Amino acid sequence: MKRTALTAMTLVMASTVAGHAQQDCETDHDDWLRSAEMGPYQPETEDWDAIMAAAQDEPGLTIYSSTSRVLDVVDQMNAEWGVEMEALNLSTNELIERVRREWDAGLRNVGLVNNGNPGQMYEALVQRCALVNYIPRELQERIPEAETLPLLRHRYSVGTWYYNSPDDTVPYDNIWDLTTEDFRNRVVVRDPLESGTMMEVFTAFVMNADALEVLYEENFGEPIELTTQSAGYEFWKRMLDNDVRIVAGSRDVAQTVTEADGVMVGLSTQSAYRNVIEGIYDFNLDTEVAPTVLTMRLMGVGMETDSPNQAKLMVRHLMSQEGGSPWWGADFPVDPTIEPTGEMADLTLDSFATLWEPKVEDQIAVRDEFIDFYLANR
Amino acid sequence: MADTFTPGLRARRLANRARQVRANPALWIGAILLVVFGYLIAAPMLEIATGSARVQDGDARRAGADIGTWTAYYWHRLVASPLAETLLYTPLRNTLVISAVYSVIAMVMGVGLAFLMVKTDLPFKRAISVAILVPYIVPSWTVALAWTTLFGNDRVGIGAPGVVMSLTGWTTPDWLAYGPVPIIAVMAFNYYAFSYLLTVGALSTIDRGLEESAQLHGASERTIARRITLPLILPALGSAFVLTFAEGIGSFGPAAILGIPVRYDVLATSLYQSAAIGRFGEAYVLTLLLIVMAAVTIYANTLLIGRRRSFTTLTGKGGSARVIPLGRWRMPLLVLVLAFVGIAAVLPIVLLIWQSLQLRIGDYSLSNLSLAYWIGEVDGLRGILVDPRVQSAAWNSLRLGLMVAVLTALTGILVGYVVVNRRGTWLARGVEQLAFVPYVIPGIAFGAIYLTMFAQPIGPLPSLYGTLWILVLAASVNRLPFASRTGVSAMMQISPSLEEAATLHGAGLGTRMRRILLPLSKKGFLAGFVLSFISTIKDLSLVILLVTPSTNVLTALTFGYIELGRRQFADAISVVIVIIVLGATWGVQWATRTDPLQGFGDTRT
Repeated sequence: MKRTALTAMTLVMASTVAGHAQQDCETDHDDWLRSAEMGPYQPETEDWDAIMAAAQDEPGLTIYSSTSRVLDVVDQMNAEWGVEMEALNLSTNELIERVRREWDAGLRNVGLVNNGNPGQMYEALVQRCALVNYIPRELQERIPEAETLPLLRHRYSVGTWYYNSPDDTVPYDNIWDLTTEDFRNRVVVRDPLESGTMMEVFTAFVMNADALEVLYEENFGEPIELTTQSAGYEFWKRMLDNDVRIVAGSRDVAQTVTEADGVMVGLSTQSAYRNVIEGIYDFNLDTEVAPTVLTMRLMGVGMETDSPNQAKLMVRHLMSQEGGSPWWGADFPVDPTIEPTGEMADLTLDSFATLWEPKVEDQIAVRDEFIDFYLANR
Repeated sequence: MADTFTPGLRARRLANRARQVRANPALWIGAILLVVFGYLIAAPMLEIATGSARVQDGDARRAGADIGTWTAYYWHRLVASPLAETLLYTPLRNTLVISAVYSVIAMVMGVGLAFLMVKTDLPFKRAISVAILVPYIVPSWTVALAWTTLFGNDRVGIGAPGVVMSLTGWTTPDWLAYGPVPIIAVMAFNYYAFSYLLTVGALSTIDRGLEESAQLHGASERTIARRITLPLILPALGSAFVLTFAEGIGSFGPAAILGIPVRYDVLATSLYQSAAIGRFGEAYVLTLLLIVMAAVTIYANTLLIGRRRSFTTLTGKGGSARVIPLGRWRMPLLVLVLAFVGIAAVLPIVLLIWQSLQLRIGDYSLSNLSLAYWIGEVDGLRGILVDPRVQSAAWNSLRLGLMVAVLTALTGILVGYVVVNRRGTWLARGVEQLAFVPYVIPGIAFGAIYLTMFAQPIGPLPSLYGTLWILVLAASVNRLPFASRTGVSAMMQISPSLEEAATLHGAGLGTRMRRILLPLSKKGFLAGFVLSFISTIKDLSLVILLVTPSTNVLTALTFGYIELGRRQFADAISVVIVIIVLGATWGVQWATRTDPLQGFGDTRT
């Protein structure tokens, strides 16, 4: 299934989701948006020399990011641009909580956010007007609008399955095999309560219950008998009943799959595969059998930040071939003109046979219910 | 009431009052303390209580009401909904079981050791007495980490086999690797120092005449122990049990490391997880429950020991206790005690060092040894000794420890000054009791309250969220009960006549503090200072919700590494924390020729 087809389907929904909040925020923060030339005041053509010049006089951008790689980029660009930006690395959930509390307290610390968990980002931050969606004009020509809502997407990643098996072939024919006795205590997942990204991956199964129902019948030759609301919940219920191992970190998944005697299957992000290429871990990536879940990292500019021009420069830089190079290769660029580089350049989103893309509004709708389900059944 | 209507009399009375207040600094210091404590202690409690009954941010949908409106949603969820079993009752049962069982074990260890150290002629007492207290200094989650290194198996959690499994090939059973048994064991090893110190205190103050007269009348050692010694130290034992129990209720570290991987929840971890996924309504309810449980326990303690809160002292007759010769049991008992000290104090640290040197965890071969996690680089992360993030966290930890130590030691002295000088008045009672309240608030709950309270600017204070000050405030208030106990007992020993004499000679409050009160209470001040420093540096539960990257401290960094699955980094930092804490303790001990930990008995209520 191709990503473009899927994103086209979400276009209508995403624009209505983002539209309402955007309008209120634009009215409330009209003065600042006008002076920062963002939102409705973004000029048709942007003069990057003028932006660079204006950035020199700004106090210094504060970036909150869920990836530590931003820290190095900031050091490098401070030297190149002669500005004083700083970046903090926070976990997905902490980041959202922190921006929310700062905003409510009247603090306007953060100038740029780079984070996952689109559902929470939208509900807690965009609706609150704490973040404004800024897309450099040159990017608007290249990236479909759907991929810029509710905020500009920096890059894609996927939640996918690893395996370790004696003959190096995928040890299951169907995702439902993992719920059978053969895989008891042989699957390891990252705790969705610890990781916002994993929560996206887990809930995607709930949103794709219909597909799971079909897969079940294909595998067992009979329709599924539900003990929960849907085949999506049923899948996780049976996984949990099958003694799935729950670990805290993504490296824990990689470590467990690598160290296992015999068959072991893990669910985490594909970027850990870089460690396999580097020789630290040893496992295979399943791109064929089990469904893969598309996750994304978004960027938003802090409303009322005192350094809007530095924010613009940074957004443009992080989206570029050079500025985004720490991620291109392990993650997937949103801008189609970017060439994947690095160790994992051969792996693209098209490599995955089945790719599920969760919708933002579904994520918001499903999250609370899924957490309750997970707490009750884990 | 008549004089209320006589303006002249009333004005004179007010003027008198004013003169009195100026002449007696205890009055206005007390008033200031009352206001500050009310703000820092009473207000947060109120905040939690109301927070648990109003719809929190982001919960409008699931609570079915607007944000900020009154609701029974959270209480209902935790107490009576289908999820109540998972969210509350199971963790509650687990918490009670763990606290009760570990308290009994810790008591047996502590009392047994205290008896051997005070009442018998066991050799090498001095050296042993130093080592016995090391586990109290070592953070409990460090010991929990060491436990997984020792007993981990390939079936649970990250599936890295521990030392035992690697060396013997015996797959350690799951119940020994994770869950209640290791949590209880780790906590018992960590907190037996409570009962040890309280019992040592009680035993050494027993009038030896009582025991000797019994001996003269032909009573056997056993009869003396049963009829005289035991009844005399019974209140201390009860007190030790209650305090150990109360400590266990809010304990986070061991349960987080040894419980979460097998989904064994206690109240503290349940609270942490609620807060981590942004469910603050539930977190507030759990906080209130923890506070109520601890309060009930502490109330039981005051019932047990009567109204005298500071009933143990370690001063005076320590050396004069009657000594029972061990005879042929001397050597076997020495071996036993040494083995115990080895397991409790030395083994965890050795294991941590060893694991921090393993390139790949669980591989115990020599070729796998590496300094990469200390001074090298692994997977883009620098070794802890060359990582600026770790350096800044270490610096933050040190600053935090020192600031809290100074602040609490000073506040403790002030509390002591007010309480002793205004003894029997409502002011003294108010200050003393408010200062005691944080004892019943578990560290993790404290973090949650301050997070909410100081995220917003309050009056002249800007938002402290994201600054080191929020940590300093929270940790200081958390330490206040201990510091004020120390302060009160230190001030009790200073005769008011000294201060009166100085006042007659025209010395102001500053001079009296500097020249009389502080020098004379130096020992208590120092004990409070060191203990505050130690507990602040090693505390995990308090800081885990409050730190941010720029205010990160070593303990939180460790937990971050564990969450990421980078155990060796966490081990290495744990070792550094232990070194800092031991170094500080021994440094003070050496410089002042006193044992700051011996002040421990005084500071525990």
